[in-house]
Amino acid sequence: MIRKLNNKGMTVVEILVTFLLVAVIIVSLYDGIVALKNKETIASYKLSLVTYRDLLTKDIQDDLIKIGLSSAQTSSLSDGTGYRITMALRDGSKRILEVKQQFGCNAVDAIEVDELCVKAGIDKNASDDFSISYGPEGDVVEYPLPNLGREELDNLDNSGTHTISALRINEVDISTANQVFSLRIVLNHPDLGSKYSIDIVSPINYP
Amino acid sequence: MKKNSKGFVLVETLVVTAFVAAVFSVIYINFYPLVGEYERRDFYDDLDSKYGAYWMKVFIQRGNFEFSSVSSAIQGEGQPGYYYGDANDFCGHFPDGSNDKNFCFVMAERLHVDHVIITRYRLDDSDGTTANFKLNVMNDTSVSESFRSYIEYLPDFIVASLNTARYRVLVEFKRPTGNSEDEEPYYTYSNMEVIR
Repeated sequence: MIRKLNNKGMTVVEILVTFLLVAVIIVSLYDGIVALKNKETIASYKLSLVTYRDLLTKDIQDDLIKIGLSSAQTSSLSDGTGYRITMALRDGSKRILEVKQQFGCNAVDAIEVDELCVKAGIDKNASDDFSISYGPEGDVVEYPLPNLGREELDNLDNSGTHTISALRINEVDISTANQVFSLRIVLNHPDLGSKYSIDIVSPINYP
Repeated sequence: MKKNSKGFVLVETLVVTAFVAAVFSVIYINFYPLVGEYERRDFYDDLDSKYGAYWMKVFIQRGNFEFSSVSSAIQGEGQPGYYYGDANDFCGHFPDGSNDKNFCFVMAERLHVDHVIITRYRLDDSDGTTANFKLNVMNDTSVSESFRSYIEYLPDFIVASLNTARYRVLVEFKRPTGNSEDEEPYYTYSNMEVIR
């Protein structure tokens, strides 16, 4: 018995229409996939930042709540790049909190260098340098800021590159007015804003 | 043998397409608010708010905090079953000129306390003798909608406190952001048991 095979295949028009449909579907999905990828990256940044903030806050608050704060004094770091807070606790021990806040030059051309860096007293080849350290006097431990993205900028005099971090310590507010110690370290990230900053408030010598 | 090469007619295709579109719309409408709800819960009982609520609890537990009016709002006949006030009203429960009052005002300001609710430890009314806190607060339009959402999210705390706490404080914080003008202040919430 001779069996007839179906060997018709597809016409050129059918193939073209199919390719066109597949192309339209891929193009329409592409934007959505890129947006989801960005969302995933931002979510991982947020998780890192919240974990960092919570760890540091808990370590400081544990001392302030369990032992109690009897005084707090603020001074500048020896190289003038930040603040040093000496907290005397009610058991006689001391805790040191150091916040280093040195802005790098975030400018891409000579005009911006003048506007953003020279007028603000920032060296045009300086990199960002932010850090927070905390611990008992003599045993201060650095809590390095999480890496939530960095940018390498070419030095304008072609002498190499300098680094600008996405996560920066924008502000440090310290107050001991009215017998209440408060510290706000504003951690700013372009995608996360300043919502995940460090806020410590504690009464001084509260019976 | 005759081959069946008819395929679908246009009406069949349209009906199936409309049905699938309707199913996806229903899924989307029900799923999308859950994403917002999940993001809002980032600001429920976060660490900073928990420490803030801790200090409000410390103030309530002080001996000179005038608790009788709070207690009658919680347990009195025909009362709503909770005390609700802003930071000024809350700190006003300390005697004028007292050290506690000064600390309370300054702490509430620095902690960004916006409103405080004090109620029973358990948030349900299963004992039948007290007001239904959740039901009453849901109908109280002076309490912000986001605070009510937080209260609705909370469990009833039906298991007795290990510390024999009889009351609970719920705090609303209005937090500032950085200097950026694009960022609006935002609200966070927390609760803590109170031993009195």
